[in-house]
Parts: sequence; structure tokens; C-alpha cells
Amino acid sequence: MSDTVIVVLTFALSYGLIIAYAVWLHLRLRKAEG
Amino acid sequence: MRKIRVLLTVAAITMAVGFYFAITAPGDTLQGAYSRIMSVHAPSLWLAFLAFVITSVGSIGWLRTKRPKWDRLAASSVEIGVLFTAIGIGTGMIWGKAVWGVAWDWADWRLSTTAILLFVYVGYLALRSAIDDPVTRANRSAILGMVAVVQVPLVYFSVYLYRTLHQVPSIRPGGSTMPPEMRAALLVNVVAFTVLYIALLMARIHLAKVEEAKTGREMLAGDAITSPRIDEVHDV
Repeated sequence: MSDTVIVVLTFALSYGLIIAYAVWLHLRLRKAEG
Repeated sequence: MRKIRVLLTVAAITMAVGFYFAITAPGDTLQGAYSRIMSVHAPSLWLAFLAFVITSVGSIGWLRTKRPKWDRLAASSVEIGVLFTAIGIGTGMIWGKAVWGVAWDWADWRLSTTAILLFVYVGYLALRSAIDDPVTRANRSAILGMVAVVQVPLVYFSVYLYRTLHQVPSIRPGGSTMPPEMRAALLVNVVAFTVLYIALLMARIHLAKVEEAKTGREMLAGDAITSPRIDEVHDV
């Protein structure tokens, strides 16, 4: 795997974690709102 | 809620701009393309530090005033700080494996103190989830939130106190050792992560308010269906 691909995948992993957290917040909010 | 949506949209746009700046910045002579990882590694950890400082402010605010808004601020900021610390450690490990040849070294003070920082704030979240009573929960977590912030300067200055693997910061009050293009990419990402932090913090505080209202309704409903005490029953 080339260095650039690993770098792009590292960014994707970071953004993926942030998006997963935002989705989790959204789901918790929907559950709390009933 | 509309304000939060707008902020999240602005955060997504600034993150996309940050990604563009990071990926188009020139690679380092020694590190090659891996130097671009610094554009997400450093901002995420700086914002994690800010998140934990905000938690200590919220903790002190709660202990002084007992107003729930301070407890909500402290608890919400920790969650985002833990997320950013995890991202900082994860990206740092990928960078370390490529540049240092090792992903992790427990003998390095910066790495070890950052790991302890993460464990302590995960412990903060565990403490909150273990206590049902809102006032007790807020009191105990506020004490931890107020004390745990001492780790932030400890982590930051660990590279000056005892340097092994991790280098000293490339941007510091005395100036910068980075080329302008790499510095610009880093600073754009600092702005992007700051906007993201504010957006996520506001969303998390909103969630805390909704959850508190729900808990309040459930407690009221619980009171309504509680069986009467024996001294209240007359027609037996």
C-alpha cells in the first residue's frame, strides 16, 4: 500500500469516528425525544 | 436546534477545506506523505486539551453555583475530549509506525501521559454512568473534572521534562519550525476542529437537556403510580 493511501485512510478513520459519534448523538436524541 | 444544524454544516465544510489543505500540502523531506497526518493529529489533541479545560470550568461552575448548566457543560465536553484524544492517539500511532518504526512506546512520557489522560476521562464517563442520583453524580464528577485537568499541562510539557521519542511542538510561542504551506494546513485544521468542537458541544448539551427533561417526566410518572403508603389507606 502506498504512503498516500495510508495517509488518506488515516484521515478517513478520523472522520469516520467523528461521523459515528455525531450519528450516535442523533440516535440518543431521537430516543430521548421519544 | 437550527443553530446546531447550521454549526454542524459549517463544521463539515471547514473540515473538508482542512482536508484539502492537508492533502495538498508538500510532504516533509524525511517523513514524506506521513507529515500530512499532523494536520489531524495535532489539532485533535489541542482541542481535546481545550475540551478538558472547559470540563474543569464547568466542574468549578457546578461546585460553586449548583446550576445544572455547568454540569451539562462539563459532562458534554468530556465526551468530545475523549473522542478527540482517541483520534489523536490513533493517528499518532499510524504516523509513529511509519516514521519512528514503532506505533507505541510506554517509555515515552508524552505517549504514556496521553494514554493516562484518556483512561482518566473514560473513568470520568464511567463514574457518571454509575451514579443515578443527578446531584451526587454532578458533585463527584465535578471533583474529578476539576482535579483531572492538571494532566493537560503535564502532557503538554512532558516532552520538555523528559524527552525520548516524541518531538517538541513544531509551533510554539517562540515561533515555528514548519514551512508556511504545512503551517497553513495545520492552522486551517485547528480552525476546522474548533468549529467542530463547538458544534458537537452544543449538540451534546442539547441532548443532555432533553434527557434531563425525560428523566424528570419519568420520575413524575413514577410518583403517580407509586402504591399508597399503608397510613394513607383508610378503607381496608
